[in-house]
Amino acid sequence: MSLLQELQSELRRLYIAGSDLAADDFRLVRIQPKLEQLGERAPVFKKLAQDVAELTGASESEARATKLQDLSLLLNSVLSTQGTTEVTGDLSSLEEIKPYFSELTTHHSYRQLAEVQTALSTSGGGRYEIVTEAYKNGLFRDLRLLPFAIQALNDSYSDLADYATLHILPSYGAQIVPHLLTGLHLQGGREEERRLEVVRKLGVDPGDRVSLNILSKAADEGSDKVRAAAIACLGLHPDFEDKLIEWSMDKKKPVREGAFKALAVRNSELTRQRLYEAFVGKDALPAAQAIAESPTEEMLLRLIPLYRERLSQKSAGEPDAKSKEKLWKTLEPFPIAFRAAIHPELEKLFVELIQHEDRYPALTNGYLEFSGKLRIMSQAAGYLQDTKTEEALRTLQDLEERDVNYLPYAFHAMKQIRTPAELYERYAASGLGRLREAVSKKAQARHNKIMDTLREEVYVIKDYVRHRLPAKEVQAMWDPRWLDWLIDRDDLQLVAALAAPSSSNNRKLLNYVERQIDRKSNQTYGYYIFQILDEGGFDEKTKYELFMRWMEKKEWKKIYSVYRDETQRLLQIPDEFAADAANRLEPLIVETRFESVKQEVQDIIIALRRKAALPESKGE
Amino acid sequence: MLQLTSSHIDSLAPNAAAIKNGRGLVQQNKFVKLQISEQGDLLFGECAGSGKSNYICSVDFVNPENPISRCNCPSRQFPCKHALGLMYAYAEGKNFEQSTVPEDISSKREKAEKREENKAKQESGELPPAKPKKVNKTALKKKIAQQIEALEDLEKLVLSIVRGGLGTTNTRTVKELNDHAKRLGSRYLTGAENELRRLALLLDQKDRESAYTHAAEQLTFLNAVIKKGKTYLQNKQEDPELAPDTESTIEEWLGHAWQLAELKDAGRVVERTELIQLAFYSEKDEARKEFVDTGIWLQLDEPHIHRTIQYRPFKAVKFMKEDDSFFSVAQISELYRYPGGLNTRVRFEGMIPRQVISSDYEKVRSAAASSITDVVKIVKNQLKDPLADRAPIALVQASQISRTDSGAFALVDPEGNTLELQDIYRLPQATTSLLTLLDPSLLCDCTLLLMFEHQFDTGKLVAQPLTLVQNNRIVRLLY
Repeated sequence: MSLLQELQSELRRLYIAGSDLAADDFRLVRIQPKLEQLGERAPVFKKLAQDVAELTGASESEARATKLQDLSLLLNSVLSTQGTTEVTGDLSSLEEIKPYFSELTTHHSYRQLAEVQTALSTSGGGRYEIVTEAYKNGLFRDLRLLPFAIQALNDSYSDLADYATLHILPSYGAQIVPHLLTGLHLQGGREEERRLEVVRKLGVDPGDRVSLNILSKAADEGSDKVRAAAIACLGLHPDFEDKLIEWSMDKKKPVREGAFKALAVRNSELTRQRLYEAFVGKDALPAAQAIAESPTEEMLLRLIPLYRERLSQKSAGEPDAKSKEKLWKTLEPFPIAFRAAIHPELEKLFVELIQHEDRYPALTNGYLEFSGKLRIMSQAAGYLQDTKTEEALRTLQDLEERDVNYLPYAFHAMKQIRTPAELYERYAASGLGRLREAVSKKAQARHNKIMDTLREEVYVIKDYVRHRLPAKEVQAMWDPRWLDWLIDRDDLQLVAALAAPSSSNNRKLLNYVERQIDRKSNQTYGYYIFQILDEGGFDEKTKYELFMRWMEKKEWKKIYSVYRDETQRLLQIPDEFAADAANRLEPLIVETRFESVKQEVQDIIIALRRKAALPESKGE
Repeated sequence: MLQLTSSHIDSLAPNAAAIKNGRGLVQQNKFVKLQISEQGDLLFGECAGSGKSNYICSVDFVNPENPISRCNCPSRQFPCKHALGLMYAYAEGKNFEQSTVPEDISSKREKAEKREENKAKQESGELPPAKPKKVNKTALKKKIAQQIEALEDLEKLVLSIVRGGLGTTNTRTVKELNDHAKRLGSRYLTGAENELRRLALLLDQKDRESAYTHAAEQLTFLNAVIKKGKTYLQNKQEDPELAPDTESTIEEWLGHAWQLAELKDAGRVVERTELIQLAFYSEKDEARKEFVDTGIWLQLDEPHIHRTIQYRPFKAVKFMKEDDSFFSVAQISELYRYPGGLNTRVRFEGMIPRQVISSDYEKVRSAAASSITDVVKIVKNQLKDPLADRAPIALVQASQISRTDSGAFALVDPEGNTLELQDIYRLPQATTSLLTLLDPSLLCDCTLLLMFEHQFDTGKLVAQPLTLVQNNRIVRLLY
C-alpha cells in the first residue's frame, strides 16, 4: 500500500517536472523491482511494474507522456480502492470538550442563509444592512451562521465588525467563550481585541481551565493589543491576582491599561490598593477609566473624600496658565472615574459643590480653566437631575438662578417630580412677558435656553433623526398651555412637537397652520407642518383642506420632483375626497415645466380617480 | 379547496428578492382585485403597479403539481412578484371573491388540455405518433467525425502539457487552454470544454502546491475522457443507429444534454414516487460558467439517494429560478433518472408537497448503512471508475461521533469501525466543525448523510457530514 502511495507521489512529481524527464528516473527505477516482486501475487502490480519500466525506459517523448497518463490512470483507480478510512489515536466523546448550543436551530433555507454568509465573507457595499436585518430577524439563531458571526470580527468594514462584537456574538451567551478563545491568534490585532472584548463581556467560566490557560498565555505572549485585552478578561479570577499586579506595572502602557481594568473588576483589598496607587500616581487617567467601567462601593468611598480634599485645596498666588493646568491635572481623573457611578455619598458631595461653591477654592477665583469647571459642575448637575429628590431640585434651581446655562438640568429634574402644570408655570407663565424678553438681555438668554431645553425634551433622537414623542406621552407629560405659548412665539418645530387635540376646537392651532402654509418661506418645513396635521386632532375634512392648500401653494413652476411623503399623502386621501383632489391637482401641473413631475402627478390623479370610482370596499 | 402554505410558495419563487417583493405587494395592499374560480383551482386578480393600468395576473392550479402563473407585467421571472403576491394573499387568508374563470384563461386551459389529450393519444397509439425525427445520417456522421477530431486535438494538447510539466505552465498556458476549450465547445464537446477550463483555473490558482495535486488529477481524468470518448465515438461512427449510452456517464462528459424524452425511451422513469430532501447546496462553478444548485434527496419507496442538479448560466442568472432547500416531502408522478452511479441525477417537472411524517424519518433512518465497511466498499467500487462521480453520497448509521486527541473527527459505527470526517475539496462550505456546537446527545445513535472523497495526496478516503438525523429530527449542517 505505502509503495503505491510512494509511486503516486513520484508520478505527481513527474507531472510537475514534465514526462520528458522520466527517462531513467532513478527513484522510479528503484520502485520498479519492488512492484515486479508484488506482481507475482497480483497481476495489477505486474501491469504497474511493466508501465513503470516503459515510462523510464527508452522511448519517444510523446509515447512517454502517454505512458505517464495511462499509468497514472491505472494507479489512481487502484488507489481509489485502497483509501484508508480509520482514524488513529484515542477517541473521546465531544461533550467534554466545549459547551454546546442546544437552542440553536438549523431550519433556515439556503437562500436565507447564503445571503448573510456571502455578506460576511466578501467585501462591498450593502452588507451592513443585510447582516443587521438578519440579526433582527433572528437568523443568527441558526447554528450555521455562528462561524460566520465569529468571522465577522475580522471584517474589513469596521462598523460590521463592531456590530458583531456588540450585538451578535454576545447574543450567543457565555457558551461561545471557549469557541472564541480556541480561534484566538496571539499575534493578532484589532480583530483579536474585539474577540476578547466579547469574552470580557460574557465572562470566562472559572472551571474552564482550557480557556483560562489560553487567556493567560495570551496575556504573557500576545501582541500588545492582545495582551492588554486578554489581561482585562482576567479580573474575575482570583488566581491571577498577583499576575495582575505585576502587569499593572508593566513597561507598556496598553498592558497597564488592561491590568487596571481587571483590577477594578477583581476589587480585593490588594488590587484596590494598587489601583488607588495608580490613580494618585502617574497612571491616573487609565486607572480612572478602569474605575469608570466597573465602579465599586469600596473604591468610591476612597475616592470621594479625596475629590473633596483636592477641591478644597487652596492654591497660592495668582492663577496663571501653568497653575491652572496643574490643578486640572489633579482633578481631571475624578469626573472620568465617576462617569457611571451612583452612590449617596457622591450625591452629597455634588449637592455641596453646587450649594457652597464658594467653599471650594478650586472652583472659585478663576483658579481653574472655564472648561474644567464646566465639566465638574455639569457632572454634578447631571447627576442630580435624575435623583428625583426635593433637595436636588432645590439645589439645581439655585444653580439655575446663578447661571442660566444650568437651566436644562433644573428643568429636567422638575419635569420628573412635579406636575406638568407646575413646570409650565415656572418656566412659561412666570409673568415674564414677551416684551421683557425682547428688551432684557438676561431674560432673552433665559428664553433662548428654555427653547433649547424644550427642543431636547420633546424630541427623541434616534438614528440621527429627531422623532416626536408619542401622542400619549405628550398629553400626559406636557401642559396644554405650552402649545399656545409656543404658537405665540412662532416656533414651528416645537409647535409640531406638542401639537395635540384640545378642547377649544384648536382654532388657534388651525389659524397657525394656515398661516404657516401660506408663508412662502415655510415650504421647506413640510415635515413639521404635516406633523401638526396628523397630531392636531383635526377632522378629516379640515385635514384634507389644509393638505390641498399646501399642495396648491407649492411653486409648481419651480419644483422638479414631488416629495415622497407628499405622494403618499395624496394616495391616502380618503375616498370621499379623491375625486375632488384629482380635479384640484389637474390644473396645478399645467404650470410645471418638468415632464417627470407632470407624469408623476398624472399617475396620482389616475390612482385617485380609480379610488373615487371604487365602490365602498373598506376594511381590506 | 386549494391548500397553499407560504413555504410552498417560497419554493416556487425564482429567488429571494421575488419573495420579498411578492410579500411586499400584499403588505402594501397593492391588490385591487382578488378572485378565485368556483372550482377553487384558479387564483386571479389585479395588482396596482406604478403605471396607469393594473397588472392582470393569475395562477392556475388545474394541474396542482405544476401551477402555471400568467401576468401581463413585463417581468421575465416566472412566477413574477404579482403572481407570488396573489398566492401569499391567499395563504394569508385574504378575502377572495368567487368569480367565473376569465375567458382568455379558459381558452388557454382548453388549448393546454387539447395538447395533453393529443400527447396521451399519441402515447397510447390512438393517433399516429408525431413523425419520428428524421436523423440526418450524413450530418450526424460529420458531427461525430468532428468530435473525434476534436478529442484528438485535445489529446495532443494534454500530452504537450504532460511533457513540459505543470511546473512550466504560466499565464500564457492558461490562456491557451481557455482558447482551446472554446474550440472544443464549438465542436460539440461542451463537457470536455468545461473540464479543460477547470484545468486552466487550477493552473491559475495562487497556491500552486495544492493546485498541482488537483491539476495532475485533472490531467489523468482528461486522459480517461479522451480514451473512453474515442472508443465510444468510433463505435458510434460505425453504427450511427446506435442509441446513446444510457448506463455510463460518458455522454455527459462529452457534452450531451439529456432530454427527458430520451430518458423516458431508455426506461429511466420512475412513476409515482416520493422524495425527501436531505441536503442542498449551491456553488459557483467557474469552469462551467454556471451556478450549480444541487439537492440531495432520498427516494422514500426505494432507498436510493439522488441528486437534483440545476445549472444556471451566469448570463441567465436573472431569469432563472434559484433552487432552495426544501423541507417537505415531494410527491412526484414522474421521476426521470439520468445515467450515473450511486447517486443518479434526477429531474421532475412538477410535484405536490406534503408534510414530513414520522414514518418518513423512519425510512430515512432505515436507509442508512449500519456498517462502515459495507458503505466504503460500495463507495470505492464507484471511485474505481475514473469517469464516475468523484464524490459519492451515502447515509451511514453512527453509534457515536467522536474526536481524536489530534482533533480529527470520527464516525464510529455500531460494529466499532471508524471513519474519518473532514471537510472535502469538492464542497464549497465547511460543516465538520459545526459538530462541536451541537448538543452531544445528538451525536450518539444517529444517522449521518455523508459525502465521500478520496484524497490522493494523503491516500485517505474521508467523508464530510452534510446532515444529521436522529429520531424525528433532521439537522442540516450544510443547507
